[in-house]
Amino acid sequence: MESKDEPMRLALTGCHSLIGHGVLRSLDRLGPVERVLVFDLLPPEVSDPRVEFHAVDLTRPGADAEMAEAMSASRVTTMLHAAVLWDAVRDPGWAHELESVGTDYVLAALLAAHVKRAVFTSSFVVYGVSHRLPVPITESAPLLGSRTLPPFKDKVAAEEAVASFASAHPEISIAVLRFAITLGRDLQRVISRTLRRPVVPTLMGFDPAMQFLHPDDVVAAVLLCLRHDCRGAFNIAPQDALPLSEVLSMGGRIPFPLPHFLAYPMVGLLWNTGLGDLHPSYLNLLRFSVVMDPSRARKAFGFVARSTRDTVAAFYGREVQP
Amino acid sequence: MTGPIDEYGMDMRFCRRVEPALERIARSYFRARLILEGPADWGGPVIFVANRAGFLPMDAVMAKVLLDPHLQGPGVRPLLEDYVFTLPWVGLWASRLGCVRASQDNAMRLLSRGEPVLAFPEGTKGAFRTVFERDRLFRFGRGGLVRLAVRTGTPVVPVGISGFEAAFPLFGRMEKPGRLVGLPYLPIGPALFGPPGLLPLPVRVVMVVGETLCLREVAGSDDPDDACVLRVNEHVRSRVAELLRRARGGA
Repeated sequence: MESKDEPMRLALTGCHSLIGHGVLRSLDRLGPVERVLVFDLLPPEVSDPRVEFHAVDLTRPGADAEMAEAMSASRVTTMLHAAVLWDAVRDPGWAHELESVGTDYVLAALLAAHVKRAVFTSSFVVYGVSHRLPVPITESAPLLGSRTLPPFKDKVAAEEAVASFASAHPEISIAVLRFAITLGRDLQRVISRTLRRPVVPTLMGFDPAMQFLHPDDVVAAVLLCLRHDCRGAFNIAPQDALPLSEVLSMGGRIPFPLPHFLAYPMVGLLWNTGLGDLHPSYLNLLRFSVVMDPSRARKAFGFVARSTRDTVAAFYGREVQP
Repeated sequence: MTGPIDEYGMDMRFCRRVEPALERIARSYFRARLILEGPADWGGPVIFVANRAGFLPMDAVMAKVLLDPHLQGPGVRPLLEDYVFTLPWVGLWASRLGCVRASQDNAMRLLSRGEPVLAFPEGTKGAFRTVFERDRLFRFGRGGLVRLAVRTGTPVVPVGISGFEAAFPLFGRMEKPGRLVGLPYLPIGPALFGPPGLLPLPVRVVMVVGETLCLREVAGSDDPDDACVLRVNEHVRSRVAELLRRARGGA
């Protein structure tokens, strides 16, 4: 159901990421928007009279009260939490403060400011990546991410906190979006960076199926979800999946196969010494297929992503081999 | 799912390309014989239940090669143990050929699409059976398969396969050293000597396919209690054991 009776007063955390920046640039697609509160460390690069910036550090105690005060004053109706990490970082303590504790602050602020609608952004990593994944992954699958992707254990903790908050406060309509891997030409995330290289490491004897999302679809899914009143978790993924080998051949990239029992310690050593930007647990993605079922998002708010094939073709641009 | 592979990683083009080679391996290398005890009138969802042998899933692939001419569509989907899909090449080729990780959800999904499945309810122990255990049939799980077949009313076809325990001979299996190399057990046998030891020996393979069972009739209800499930499970196991004995006799 679309709610059009009241103009939206939106609160947004994180305005420099793909989602935050994308939503601020396409506010008109949200319907009538009266005001947007932005919580971040630095002001957004968007000049819109409706946007009001508040410097808030989500890793600092008291962030919830600061946000709640501003949100109550502007009578915020809807909140979008996009201040989350998309890659493994070298400082797990900071990641814990931002992802897990930061989400707690956002939840506390929601409650204090009597917000009616909230959308949280998460990722496929909460399911983990292993051969035991269900095929395809539906939203009811267990969240085992901390076992096979330890750098993202705070994402799982954040989702658990959101889920228990949502069941304790049924008056607030809460949605969680779990995005597939986003692949963008100018996206500075480790998977996009790795796949842009001329030579891409792969694992010998493994060729997993992968799903890739176009950055525009990520923003489109968030906008659609904000406009609709839908609850629970939603997989945001394309319908199809491509084997890694086919992705690389579409881009004319040269695979560099490594034996998996050597690759894990090697990549781990590079990561730990600061020479490499790939956390060893990412190698699980080169080993096991991750195929999400996007049908719940399609039914709830009509989101259909472009296909993995189109996203990969757009990613490699004119370099695509005929 | 549009694309070259289905969501379980099966690649029809690859299957068609390697089919003649696999058939030749079955006929000439293993001298495989298929004996049908009942009519092969399987249409739509069927659960084939077989014994498993050989830690590389050659038996699943050969069973698929032998059964597929009697089936429509993409053929039977073997359900294999978890460890197979963690192995390089083995897991990849198994899934490209249509094998799927054994789980209730996967089996349900395939059956609901009308695809026949080939289950090996003995599990990992069956795959790592030693030559001394060749006549022994291990426990058939906890009866999850039986419960599924009774609830959905899917016909069950027992199958006995002899030969593969000798194709990959094992003289023992060790659990803890196996964990170190990422296998459920360390196979004590020629496999320890590296890749040449992974080649199957050219043994004679006999596969006996029994008559179709309707487990609902055996159970007497469509919502059996645990004791009934175990009883039916044992019934299926004894049928497979009988067919395995016949397969050995025919070798």
